[in-house]
Amino acid sequence: MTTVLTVEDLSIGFRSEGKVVTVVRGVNFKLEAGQTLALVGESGSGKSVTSLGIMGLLPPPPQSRTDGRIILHGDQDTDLLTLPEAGMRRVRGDRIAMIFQEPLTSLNPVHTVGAQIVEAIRSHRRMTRKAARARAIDLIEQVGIPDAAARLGSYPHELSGGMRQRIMIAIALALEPDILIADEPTTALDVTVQAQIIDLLRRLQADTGMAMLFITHDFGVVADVADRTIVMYAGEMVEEGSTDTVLGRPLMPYTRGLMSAVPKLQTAGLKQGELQTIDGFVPDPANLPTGCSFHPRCRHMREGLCDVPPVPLEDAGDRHMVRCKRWQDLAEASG
Amino acid sequence: MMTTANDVSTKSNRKQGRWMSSRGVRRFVSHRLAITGLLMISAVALLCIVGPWLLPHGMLEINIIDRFKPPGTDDYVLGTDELGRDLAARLFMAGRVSLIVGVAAMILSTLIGTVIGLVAGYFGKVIGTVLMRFTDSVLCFPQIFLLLTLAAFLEPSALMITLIIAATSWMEIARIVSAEIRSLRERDFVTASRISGASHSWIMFRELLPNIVGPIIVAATLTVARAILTEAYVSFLGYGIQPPLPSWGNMLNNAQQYLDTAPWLALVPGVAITIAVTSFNFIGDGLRDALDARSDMP
Repeated sequence: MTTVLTVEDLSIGFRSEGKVVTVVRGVNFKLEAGQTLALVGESGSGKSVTSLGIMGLLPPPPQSRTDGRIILHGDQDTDLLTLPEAGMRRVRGDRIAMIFQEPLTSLNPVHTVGAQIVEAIRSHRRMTRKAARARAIDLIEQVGIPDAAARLGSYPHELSGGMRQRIMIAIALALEPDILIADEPTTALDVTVQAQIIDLLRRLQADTGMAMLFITHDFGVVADVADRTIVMYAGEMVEEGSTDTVLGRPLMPYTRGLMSAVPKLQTAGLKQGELQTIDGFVPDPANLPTGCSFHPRCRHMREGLCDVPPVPLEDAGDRHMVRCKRWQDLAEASG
Repeated sequence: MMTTANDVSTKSNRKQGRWMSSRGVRRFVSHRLAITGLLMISAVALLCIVGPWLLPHGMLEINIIDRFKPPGTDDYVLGTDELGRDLAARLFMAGRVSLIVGVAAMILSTLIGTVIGLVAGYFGKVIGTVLMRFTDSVLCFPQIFLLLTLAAFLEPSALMITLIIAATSWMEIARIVSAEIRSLRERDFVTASRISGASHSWIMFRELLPNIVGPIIVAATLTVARAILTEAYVSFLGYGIQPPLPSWGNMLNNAQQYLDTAPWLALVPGVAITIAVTSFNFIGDGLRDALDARSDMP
């Protein structure tokens, strides 16, 4: 397996009222070619900021502060955090592409989708308009839109949400990137379309061998797409492992809470309509609790243990990492 | 079977593709005042272009015997002035000058205003603040004094008056553009195009600018009306287009001393200015209704 991106000790902070508020703390992960890594967490857990950091789209210092290293592997390794803007512009779109939550607003309303794909290609490759057009037709076919040649002349408002997301995917894939960052790409779509888009992404990944960083809050989607999963809470990784282990044997109480907060049609042992939620709110990043940042909301919190730093990320075996001081007790208790 | 189904859907989609623009066109066509304005200004422009060739007298042809002939005398359709020159010939030549100055000043001020507004709106922060405060400060000067001061120091000519008018009328467009861009730049498609590696100038001119063509066209049309009016009053005050080259403004200037004896000398260019300015204003209103993005939302 080839590693295409290594994120080392990534910390991201924003300046707010004179002081720096850190919203991502010490994140580490690797993206492997052909594999999908899911970043899961609530709003405000730092998952989207992490992806913007990789893309180099955070506001420039002094408004933001980034530490650590983001290494893009290739013929030679590049640290994206030290790369000047001109070099970053060549990386964006070409080596790393991204798709968003809102396909409705991510396409320019005044250009045809054909023009937008063609320009995405021509901004990085020397190619005649005609060749780029042919490539655009290929791409539209690849993302499963029928009658591709006719679609080139369509404006975004003439397409459905699912179609638009397919076009976004076509644009993202136009330059055969090594990495695709998908920031909640299915959240705005209805369930059947969601499944189609996820199938499409998996098929395209199998064809191209790109690595995917999939950002979501939906465990159902995670189970479908991800090889490995990272659960984030308050800017920290709290659990990491292969998707099967994390979903099958979650160790961190937060992960369990998130999973039981997913509505199901029939939940064994629960009355219909009753949904388990996690009490309280995501803490203010300017004012984090000491020790485990989840302890004020945790049912298993033990005073004098959980509120005392440090809370390291511990290996529970088989590259299953968990940041919880009580994971062993809890694992035994639940059998 | 499949092909038929596809063809049908393609056709209906094609129709939809033209739907937005055709709806705009339809809205403009159904705007009576705008169409009236368009017809009037086309007629004026046509007369100014071909009129001088059709008339028997040139605009500089002096005929002392035929001084102050009222309109309709002999072959002087609109009468003659104090030197016996054909008023119609002068009016059409003056129309060429006034319309060209008005349109050229509009193009220049639209260019300046659009670029300043784009840069200010897109970058925001320090650059945006500095540019927009500069715009506001230019806006604070009463335009007429600025114009007269500049005109007094510079050699008056058609080119110079165009430049001066453009330099004092770009501010409104700059403000419109910067306000539109400030809201547009937060949209996801801007982030999306940054993510695909687009440069700032690409995003400004290729992604954002086409989105605000409507408001710019409307503002530009209204600017033509104002530029014609501005040229007229600067020339009327004697700082603009210099005789013997006629302009609607300096024709009025000449006419004022004969107001009681030969009122048509003032009326004729006055009516021409009124027609041109109101036409452009009507067209501007019609375009605003036709292109306004808010009324275009389904």
